[in-house]
Amino acid sequence: MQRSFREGPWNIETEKGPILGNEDVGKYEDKLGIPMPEMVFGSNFLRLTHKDSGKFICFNAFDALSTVKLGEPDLKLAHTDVWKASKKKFKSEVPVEPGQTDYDVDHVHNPYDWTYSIEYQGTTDLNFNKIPESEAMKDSNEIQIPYTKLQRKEPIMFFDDVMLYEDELGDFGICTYSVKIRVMQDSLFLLARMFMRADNVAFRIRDTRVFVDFKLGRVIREYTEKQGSYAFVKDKIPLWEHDFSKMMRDPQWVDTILPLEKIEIDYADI
Amino acid sequence: MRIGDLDECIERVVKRELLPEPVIGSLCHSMKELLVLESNVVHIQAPVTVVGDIHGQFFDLLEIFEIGGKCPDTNYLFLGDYVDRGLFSVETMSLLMCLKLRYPSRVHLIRGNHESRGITQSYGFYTECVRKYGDAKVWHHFTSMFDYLALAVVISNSIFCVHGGLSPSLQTIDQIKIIDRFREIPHEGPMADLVWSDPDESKLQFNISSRGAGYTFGEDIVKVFLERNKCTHILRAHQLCQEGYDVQFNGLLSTVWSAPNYCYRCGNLASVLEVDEQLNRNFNIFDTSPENDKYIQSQPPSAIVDYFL
Repeated sequence: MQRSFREGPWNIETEKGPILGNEDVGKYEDKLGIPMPEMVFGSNFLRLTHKDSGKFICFNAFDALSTVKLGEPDLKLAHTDVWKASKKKFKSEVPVEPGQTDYDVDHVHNPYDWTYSIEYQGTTDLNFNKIPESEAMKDSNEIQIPYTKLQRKEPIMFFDDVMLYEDELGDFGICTYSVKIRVMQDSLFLLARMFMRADNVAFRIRDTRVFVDFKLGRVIREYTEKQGSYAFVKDKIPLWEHDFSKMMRDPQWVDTILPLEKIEIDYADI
Repeated sequence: MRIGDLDECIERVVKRELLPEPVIGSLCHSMKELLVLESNVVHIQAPVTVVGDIHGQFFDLLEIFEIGGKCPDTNYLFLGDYVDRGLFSVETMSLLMCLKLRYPSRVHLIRGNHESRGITQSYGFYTECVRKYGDAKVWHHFTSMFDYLALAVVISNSIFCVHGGLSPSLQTIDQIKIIDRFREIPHEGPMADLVWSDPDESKLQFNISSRGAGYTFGEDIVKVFLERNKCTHILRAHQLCQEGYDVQFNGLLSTVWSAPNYCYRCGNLASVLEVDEQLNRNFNIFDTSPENDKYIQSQPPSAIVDYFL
């Protein structure tokens, strides 16, 4: 389903369709060199196009997944060591007929970041200027997203929420990536959020926020990385919450708990 | 459990009535008495209709009985993952359990990796039980019953059926029969592999998953296993397929997926696999039941717009 909103200086388009089929998954995997998440909403996107200049910023699954790191992942499943130790035990219990298959199971082929943690800040041809990281950390920084203004309940003229990918990490956690947007009378705001929970290991949230002030003609983009151990987050669950698993599935709550590890702010004037 | 009582339970569950906690307790108890007599590997005869992951999508389960035929007119084999993710895991498990008790030789249920205490606490079944019953008693009933579910089925000595896949610790079906299965699914070893592992067409052998634990298995493994066990085909579930099914390794292995529009947003198709007396396999493909939309629309809307920050 396609939607668009064309009032104001920017065209806003969203597309929402089903997950990729086998054939397309194969194409993505060939191009990106990693197995795809279980659910890739390959036709989905959110795109903002500046009417006068034609400049755009867009969020889609393919470009996002192209930032997944190849090589030895920095996180392992919680039970990896136990599993590896037990592997030999189970193998030796079972007689393998001589001359039969040689089970080559000692190392991981083509390792990649199986948590699908991305460093994606959107696909764009806008000329962004990065502000120094030391500045970005400061509250007094002049260029920042006006959160106080965004807390006001100004009428929302257009809202959408677009899933881009999701993986259950082989039932050892979850990683979701989606983008939502709200357009007000004189500004727009979007949040592209990756939420990752590796059970008994860690949580990660990677957010890209974009704020556009229509009058000023300025686009401000903020990228943040948050991370914390599973135990750290679990420890923060209120005593009276009898269903901890519900909390562990709630990105909004986890976001309030995780420490900020990195922030980048850049802006583009058009 | 009396037949009349079971029929009454089935009638109520189909109407999405929650069975009282003591009734669930007693049904689970009867299930254990029944399942404890089953081998880890149950041998059945075709024809049978094989169903993959359902994940609490109760309306779609009812749809399966519409398109595949009612119990006991059609024999059913369910490959696990009855719970979690969908909105009606309690109803789904209640119905399948009643059907198994009512028609024990016509309905077979094997264990999926979600039929576990650990996984159901992360993926929604625990939360659903607490929300619908006020406490975790029924969750305890259900999950202790899960420990009794069989691990594999062989159809007409020819089609090997399992939730996930093969294990490097298991070369023969007889080796599966000696696993001590009456326990929580462990993190490692043959029992874990049967419910967790995935096929990988780009490899020939077993490989460690990139997550650092668990296996994928390739074509040589499939061929050797089938030959050694005098079977012709492996049938499994466990992985979402946009088309509702997948056939790999030149037709030696099929994946069947039975949760259409998974999580009410994936837009995928689903299927059940009908195996006839001659062991011909036919995927009966179906789409999401209209009842899903009706239900979701009948619920109080969550905020249409959201002042996210």
